Amino acid sequence: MDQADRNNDFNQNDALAKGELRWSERSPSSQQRPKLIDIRFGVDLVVTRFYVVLMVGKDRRDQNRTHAVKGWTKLGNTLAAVLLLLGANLAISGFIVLSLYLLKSMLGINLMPGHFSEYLKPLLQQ
Amino acid sequence: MVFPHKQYGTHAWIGSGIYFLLLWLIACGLGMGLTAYNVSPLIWLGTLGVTLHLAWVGSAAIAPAMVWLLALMWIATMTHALPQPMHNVIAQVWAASLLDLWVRGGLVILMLAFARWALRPLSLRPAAIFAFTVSLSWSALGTGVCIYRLMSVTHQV
Repeated sequence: MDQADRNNDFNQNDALAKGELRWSERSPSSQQRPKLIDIRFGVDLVVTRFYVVLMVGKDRRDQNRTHAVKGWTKLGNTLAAVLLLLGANLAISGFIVLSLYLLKSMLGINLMPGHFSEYLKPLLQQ
Repeated sequence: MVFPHKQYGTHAWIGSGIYFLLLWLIACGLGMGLTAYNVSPLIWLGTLGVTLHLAWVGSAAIAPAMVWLLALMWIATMTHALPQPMHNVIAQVWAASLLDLWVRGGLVILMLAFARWALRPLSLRPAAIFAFTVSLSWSALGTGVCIYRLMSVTHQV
């Protein structure tokens, strides 16, 4: 966020607080500029509910964060992000592999004799 | 006095009608498919649970529902599951029947998740939307089961 953006935000917030400016009339601040990718959705797991936000855009963010994340919190965040990415990766890979396998079978393309579950049986019995 | 549902025109009502008719027909086909594969009561219970969750939560329940469907499809593929009337079927038909079931399941999940959007012209309360969506999907699945059983009895006779 550059100085001009900061001043613009400050002036607008001040005018909003004084009632000189309506919320709908304010110009978009640096945080509200449209992003290249802006995907937001919720995931409800019955016992808890998460939200997922994926944003890609030109980096105009303030580099000094108001709340520094460090220590165990940082480790926990990293671990949760890795697990989440692995889970999503597994689900997407499972979807792609299975759909390609079924499409291949439907088209009559036979890469190996028999069904692949027959190859798994000896491995599972060991 | 302006009633909230008056803001939607006839087109919105027709659109909603077509949406729910399609949802009912696809869910009916899914019920027939699940009966044909003779799925276990546990899978039936899980599927009904997923429809409840979708009806209550909406689009936020798409991800867990899709994971449930993907897991079922993997189990069916790994165990080389076949529909009841097919025993010595060629691989093409087997794969096509599984893909068909997958597509039907995916469509039912998406349509159930966005059912509240299609119900906007009625201006219903969340509890009423839930009751309507659940009764619609369960009646369609049940009808699918009945049609398949009737068809198999007729076929045997």
